[in-house]
Amino acid sequence: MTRHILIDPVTRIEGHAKISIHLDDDGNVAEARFHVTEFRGFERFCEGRPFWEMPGITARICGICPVSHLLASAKAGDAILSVVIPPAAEKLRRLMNLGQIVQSHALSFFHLSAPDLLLGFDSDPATRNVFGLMAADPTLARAGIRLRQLGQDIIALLGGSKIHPAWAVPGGVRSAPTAAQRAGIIERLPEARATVLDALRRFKALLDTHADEVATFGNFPSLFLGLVGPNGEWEHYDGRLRVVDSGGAIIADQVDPSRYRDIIAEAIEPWSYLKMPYYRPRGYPGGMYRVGPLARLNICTRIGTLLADAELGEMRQRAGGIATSSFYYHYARLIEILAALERISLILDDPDLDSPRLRAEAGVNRFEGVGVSEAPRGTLFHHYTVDAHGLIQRVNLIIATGHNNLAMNRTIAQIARHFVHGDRIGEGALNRVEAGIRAYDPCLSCSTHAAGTMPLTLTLVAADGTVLDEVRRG
Amino acid sequence: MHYLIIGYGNDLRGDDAAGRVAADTIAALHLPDVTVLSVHQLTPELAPILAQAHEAVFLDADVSGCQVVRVTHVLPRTDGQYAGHVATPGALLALARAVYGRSPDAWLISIPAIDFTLGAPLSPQAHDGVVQAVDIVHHMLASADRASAAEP
Repeated sequence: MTRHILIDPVTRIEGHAKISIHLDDDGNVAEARFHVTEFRGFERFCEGRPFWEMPGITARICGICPVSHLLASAKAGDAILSVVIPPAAEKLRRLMNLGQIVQSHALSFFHLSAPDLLLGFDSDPATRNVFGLMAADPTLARAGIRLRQLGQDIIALLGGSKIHPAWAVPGGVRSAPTAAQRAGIIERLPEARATVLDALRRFKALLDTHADEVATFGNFPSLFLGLVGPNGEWEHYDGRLRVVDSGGAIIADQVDPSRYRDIIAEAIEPWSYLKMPYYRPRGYPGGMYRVGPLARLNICTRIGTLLADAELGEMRQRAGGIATSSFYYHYARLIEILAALERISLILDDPDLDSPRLRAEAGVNRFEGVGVSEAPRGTLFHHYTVDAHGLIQRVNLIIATGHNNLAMNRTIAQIARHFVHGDRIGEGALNRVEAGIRAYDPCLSCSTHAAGTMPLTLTLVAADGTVLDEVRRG
Repeated sequence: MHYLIIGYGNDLRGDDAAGRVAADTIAALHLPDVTVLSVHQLTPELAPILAQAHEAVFLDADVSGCQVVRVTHVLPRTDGQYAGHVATPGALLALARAVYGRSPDAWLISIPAIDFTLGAPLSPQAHDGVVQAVDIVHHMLASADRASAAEP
């Protein structure tokens, strides 16, 4: 008799999801599924709207990563206009995306994952949160909060609002910060760098004591996909697509993002609303790939800034080359914060930012546009088709969490096989399954209502539908 | 006395916007010593703003099925329900207290919500709830001002 263990919903991720672990007759884990049960519907909702409105609309998909949608959407608009935006506009967009990387990664590490990592997976769930971290290590907790504030303040400085800043528009951006405002950010960078370097030091010490997690949190061969610069350097806003395998071989490189369909196809499963993209040449599901901070660091030849490149070198040394364990997502996230801080410093000193030319003016010159950028969680695609009046005819969005869908399912199964036995899940095993998902920092549809508390419910269901066991948390 | 009003929800999802619509209505009144924020969701950076407020009012859509506008006193809560997406008013108050040393007296005004369709306007029920919620906030602010004036 096949039995199922259901974890519904997963806590501390964006959006709503549940996990089911399917056991075989012997009580061993046969399969695991990460169900995304919310239907967002933005692609259909946007049809008929002017493409000029799309940055402002799609930024509302998410309250955590609005900037990512804003930039990808504006870039799709640039393509429809057929313009090259002014240098100042591109640098300001880059600045905003770097602020987004800082705030989002800081939220993921310091608020969501650090309680697991620093307080322990088996610690009391009632205190395994940011408040528990505050009690155990108030200095680190406060520093993490201030780091996230810096990223948010950069976004606010540019967009005028911390979330949903309709600031990037097709053709460029609406405004630039003053020299005094830029100086205010520069003053805060040393403290931010010290925070992330301290976090890196702590995380590297954890690697030595979490061998089980490193070995079982999504540790398997896969492809890695993301944007790189013309020489293969780390890229977060523009560039071209590169795909690397777990042995470090580059199997696709400098692919024009507008031709993403040449290498990416999307499968659908009946048990989830989240699409399952795969690398087209290797088929489904063999074309599984990962995106996001770990992928970006695995595919790039170098980051291009001093401190981050030193950390990248050490990470590769520890991983033995390409890092195949998703536990390393946390590590990569911290390195990317460091890289972002270094890049922010460089951009803020750039004299191009004083230019008053921020926007290229044009009308509809193409009926199709693809905008691609690196969101904190991975490569984000906005693909629009418009009519002669610029009204949206069709929208296709591929979000980072979708790219990682196949890998997340495999990660859950791997963790469950290691930590789940029989028809009961202990608290530590339960949290490891969740933490395995959180390593990807998934951002599901967070566009619907979440009121009150989000309890964790674990249900054990027999093949005939009988509920064998149920555990609630929170 | 500094009052903070935070309305939150997704303004593209029908009644989920009820808290934000109420907040926007209050913001348009430009009341003295009142800061009004209209946000997609409750996120950690609101904690320092909360810590500076004397009193706070959260305005949110209520998906419980309750048919009336409800006012609930909110206390700081540290019992685990804190995250980027699911931060509650109580968790934010706790974060403000933990990081910045204080949190304001706070209330949650819950507005009945029934329709979360993409792009839909507020349902008549939610619209009525918004009107009531704004009225309640008015009374709360007036009461607080009277209490403040009566203090020696």
